[in-house]
Amino acid sequence: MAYSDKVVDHYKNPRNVGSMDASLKDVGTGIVGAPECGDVMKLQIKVDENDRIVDAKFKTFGCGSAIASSSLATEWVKGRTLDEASQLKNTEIVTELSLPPVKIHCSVLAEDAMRAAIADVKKKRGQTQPAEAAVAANG
Amino acid sequence: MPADLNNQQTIVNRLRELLQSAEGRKFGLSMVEEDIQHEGHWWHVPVASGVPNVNAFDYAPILNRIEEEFETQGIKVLLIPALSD
Repeated sequence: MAYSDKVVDHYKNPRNVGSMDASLKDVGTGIVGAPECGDVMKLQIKVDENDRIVDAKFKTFGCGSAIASSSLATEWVKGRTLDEASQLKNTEIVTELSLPPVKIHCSVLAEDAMRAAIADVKKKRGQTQPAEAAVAANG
Repeated sequence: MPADLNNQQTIVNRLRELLQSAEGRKFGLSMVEEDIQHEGHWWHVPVASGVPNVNAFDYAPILNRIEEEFETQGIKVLLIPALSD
């Protein structure tokens, strides 16, 4: 499979690889897996008192598209508020990275991981809405 | 760890030790040495589980800890699924 130059760049030089202390109240963690291919993605965000994301890290065990999707997602959400970050759509990742149809699930994984991380930090801060709480509880 | 850790054979030796630790053995984790790639600052190392029907979700935390051990030494190791495209 031929990857786009942007996927190759993120794969060869992934941004924001790492972990944060998941027990911290200002850190949200989302861990998701893709049954199609067995990829596992952990995405973490750190927010300030104004709900702005000041740092984002990821650990992905997956193909080049999954690594690139998570790398790009962490780049994009830094500096955004939680509400702004929650608007992140997998289709934006698909477009930016020129992902082929067989790799779209990698971008979905990144969106899901981001939403889970946002829900986690909101829950820790007591900001969870009833609908979000149900999603977070059901994984 | 020795100062010359940033050398493929040294990394391979340390990785083998870590993958064959108690928790790594549980999942039959091993690396594909011939497919290791050095891309810029990163070592991309294919890893596979020898246990049938095991879910990567279960052993991914082990791989995260291994990567972080290298990270503390200033070595950027990215463990990737073997046979991944």
